[in-house]
Amino acid sequence: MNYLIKISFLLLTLFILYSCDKPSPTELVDGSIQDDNIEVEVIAKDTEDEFYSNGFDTSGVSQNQINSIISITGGKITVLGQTEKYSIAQTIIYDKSNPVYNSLGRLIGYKTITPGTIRFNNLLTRLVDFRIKYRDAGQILDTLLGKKYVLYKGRGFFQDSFEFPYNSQVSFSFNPLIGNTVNFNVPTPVEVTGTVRIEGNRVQRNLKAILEWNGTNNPYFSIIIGAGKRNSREVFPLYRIKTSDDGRLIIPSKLLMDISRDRFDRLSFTFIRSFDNRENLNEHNVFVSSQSIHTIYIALP
Amino acid sequence: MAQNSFDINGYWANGLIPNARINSLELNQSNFSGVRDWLFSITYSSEFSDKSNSYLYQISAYKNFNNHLFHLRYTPGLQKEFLFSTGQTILLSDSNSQSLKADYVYKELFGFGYSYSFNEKFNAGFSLRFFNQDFTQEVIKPVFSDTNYLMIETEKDEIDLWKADLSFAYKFNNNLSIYLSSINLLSSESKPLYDYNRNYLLKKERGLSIGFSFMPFNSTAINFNYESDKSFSASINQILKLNFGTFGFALSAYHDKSQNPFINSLAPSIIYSASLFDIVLSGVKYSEKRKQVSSFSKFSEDGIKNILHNQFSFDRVNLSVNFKLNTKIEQRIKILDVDIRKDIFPALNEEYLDKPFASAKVVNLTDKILTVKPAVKIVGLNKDAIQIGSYQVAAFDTVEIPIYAFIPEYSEISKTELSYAEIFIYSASEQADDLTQKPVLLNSINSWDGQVKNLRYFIKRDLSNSQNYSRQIISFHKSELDTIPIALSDFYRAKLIFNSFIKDMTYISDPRIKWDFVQYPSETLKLKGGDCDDLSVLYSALLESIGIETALVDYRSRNDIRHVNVLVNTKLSPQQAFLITENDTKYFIRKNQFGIDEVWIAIETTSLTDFDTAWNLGSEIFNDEALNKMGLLNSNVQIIDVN
Repeated sequence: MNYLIKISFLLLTLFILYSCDKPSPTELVDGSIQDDNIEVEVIAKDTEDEFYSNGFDTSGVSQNQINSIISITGGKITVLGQTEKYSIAQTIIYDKSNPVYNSLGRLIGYKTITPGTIRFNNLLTRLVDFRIKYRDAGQILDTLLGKKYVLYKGRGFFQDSFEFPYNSQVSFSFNPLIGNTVNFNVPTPVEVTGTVRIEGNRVQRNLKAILEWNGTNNPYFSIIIGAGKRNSREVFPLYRIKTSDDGRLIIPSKLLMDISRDRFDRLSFTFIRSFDNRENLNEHNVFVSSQSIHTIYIALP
Repeated sequence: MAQNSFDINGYWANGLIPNARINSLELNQSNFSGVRDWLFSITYSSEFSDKSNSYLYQISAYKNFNNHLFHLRYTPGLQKEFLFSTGQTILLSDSNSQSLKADYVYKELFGFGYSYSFNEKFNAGFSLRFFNQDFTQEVIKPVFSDTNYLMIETEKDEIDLWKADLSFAYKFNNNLSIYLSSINLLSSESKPLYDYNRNYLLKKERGLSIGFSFMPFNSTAINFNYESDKSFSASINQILKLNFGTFGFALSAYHDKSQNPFINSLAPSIIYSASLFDIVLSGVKYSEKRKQVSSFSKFSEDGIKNILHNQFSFDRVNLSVNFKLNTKIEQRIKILDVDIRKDIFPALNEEYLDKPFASAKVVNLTDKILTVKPAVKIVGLNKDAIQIGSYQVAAFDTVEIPIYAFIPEYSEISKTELSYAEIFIYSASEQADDLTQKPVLLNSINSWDGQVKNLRYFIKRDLSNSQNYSRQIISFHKSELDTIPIALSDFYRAKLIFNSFIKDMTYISDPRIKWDFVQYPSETLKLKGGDCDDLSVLYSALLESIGIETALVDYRSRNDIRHVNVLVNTKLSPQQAFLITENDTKYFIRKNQFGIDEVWIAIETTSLTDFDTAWNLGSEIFNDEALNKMGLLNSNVQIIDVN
């Protein structure tokens, strides 16, 4: 009996010495949670900087300002239940040897060049001024970077006959002043149509936005959440959220709760379904994007 | 989800081996058996996933108060932790990304159990358990300042949960018992701070669990348990009793709908149980390979119900040690019944020394011969329990043992009342193995049980008072007595004493119906009266106190009215009888202890006249009842010597 007690005591001592651990956790991984997977990125680093309020009808609002781009957009804007459509096809070719800095030395873009003519669906583009706004030493400055190639149909005076063909393709043709003509087709995505529903409220800290759209599982899909300044037409794109094109996303409340109601009075949710690619255009590596965009404005809750 | 009926020590039949199921509050609230006094238990566990972890699983304490069993359990190791990505990623300005994590921990921290044994067959109990659900999730926090950026913030949610359940167990016989338990009968949960945590709370569907234990042999049990969510468990137990303890083995199998395959796990368990401690080595082996990395969808869709045993649980080994601290002696003798055979008459104290007033039917619960010592305390008579006698009882035998009362010689019980006899049975130690109470009639000090032979106890009490009284009479008549032949000394002393005391006496019949109320000699002298018992007792006491032998004659055939008178030994030989009378019907010859004939005369004290009249009357009654009607032969008349 004493022998058993000694053995028990020894075992207990060993266990006590060896038992400071805790149960193993289970790590959970699964493809199915991709449904709600999101990748969030801040776009407007400074909402006082008008630089970031430049139109964000393209997906590359800020970063792409320094990359030459061919952008073809079929867009919709819904405000108070009214939806307007527009189509834009544009090309911006930067001269990387000619950067533009603000007074603090921050790169704000490059001068543009127009080394030939460009056609979309055989329609000749117009050359229009390409201006950007930015804050410099407390002043809002407007700077002309050069010209860009544009076809536009929608609200406004200058109308082209270009109509964005959804789920199809747009032929692109660049006829340089020197060299051979570059031709290729740009595929276009299925038209995106979204809805926004706000649930909860700020007081209970459970504010959330439920976004739904016609999901097609397109590999390039993102949502940009923007905020419109009070008494201004300017809208700052705040976050880009990359998620799967599955038709539904709940925006976490944290992303909405901290948007100041003092400075902003409306939110914009921009659904972007795109096909992105790169092409060489007369020695310029160009980002090519065709996108269907639906922007919905709602009052900031 | 998973079944509730998962016991870390394996699935054992209640009562097959003590303390095997001791630490299960999950489905064993009604387990009354096992703990005799205090029990402390500690369990260590080792889990085997991709690595092995060892930790303290639980510490618990038990206390038994008669039919009540209390259980308190602290379970630091009863927890399950899940780590997963929230699916959210922040793209930082330097093009790096950071994924957001979540850490969900389910803990059962404390448990309290209570069970009550209504009788040998029926137990019921309840459990109260406290859970904590500690959910931590990283979320994206936008910061709007000079520079807008995203940061990671941690949202912590601590949700408390209380659960209460009931359980009942019924033992039909030694072979079959059943039990019924609620599952999540009552629960109270604090509200999560964040709505997204609602989906991950512990599942609390109400349900029922029913099971049975069948013991085809004393050492074998087959157990089966079914829960209303269609899960079940089954086990087989086998024990082996040895001189130095008991070994047991159990093999349990479990099935529930959330775990694969059909029999999701097997749990072997061995126990060694000794008098001071138990050691239980148990384990569970899941049929499918359990990896440290598992499916999030399985977790988000099914959730978990049982922290210990669920679809994410790992193989494990447990070592439990129970320490039994018995301040109470293990019961070895049990009282089955007590029969009170007679009431207590304090005046007849010596009668109880050799004649039991009660008998107790007791059973030896052990496999050894035991020496059993009964003790009794009569409330109102004894200050302590008095142990009288010892008896041997064979192993597992049931016997009837006599219970003797001890009555202090000078008890002063002024009136008859209903009292209690507390009967204790001791086997070895100073602590009784069992005790019981029985009502008993405690009569007054003047009560008499109607047995004439027991009147001697009244005679002998206060003998010194009687002696003083007699001596005064003798002294008063000393000159008269000095003239009498020595052979007639006893006769004349008896005559003088009778004539002296009887003239002050009055006959008072006893109004009591069942038992006589008998006055002690001093009381009769003081009250100057009494009935035949009182007067006979007085006269006998006065004579006995000065060495004159007396006897009481009990006449039983007088139409149920019993009568007593006194015989006095004159010490005369039959040849000397003529010295007192020539009428041979007025004396009787009795042999003394040496076989020598002596002359006795009958005195009827109730005549209340003088000695000669009392003698004549006594002789008539004696002749008639004892001789003519042959009362001495047919026992209607008995002569009881006072000494």
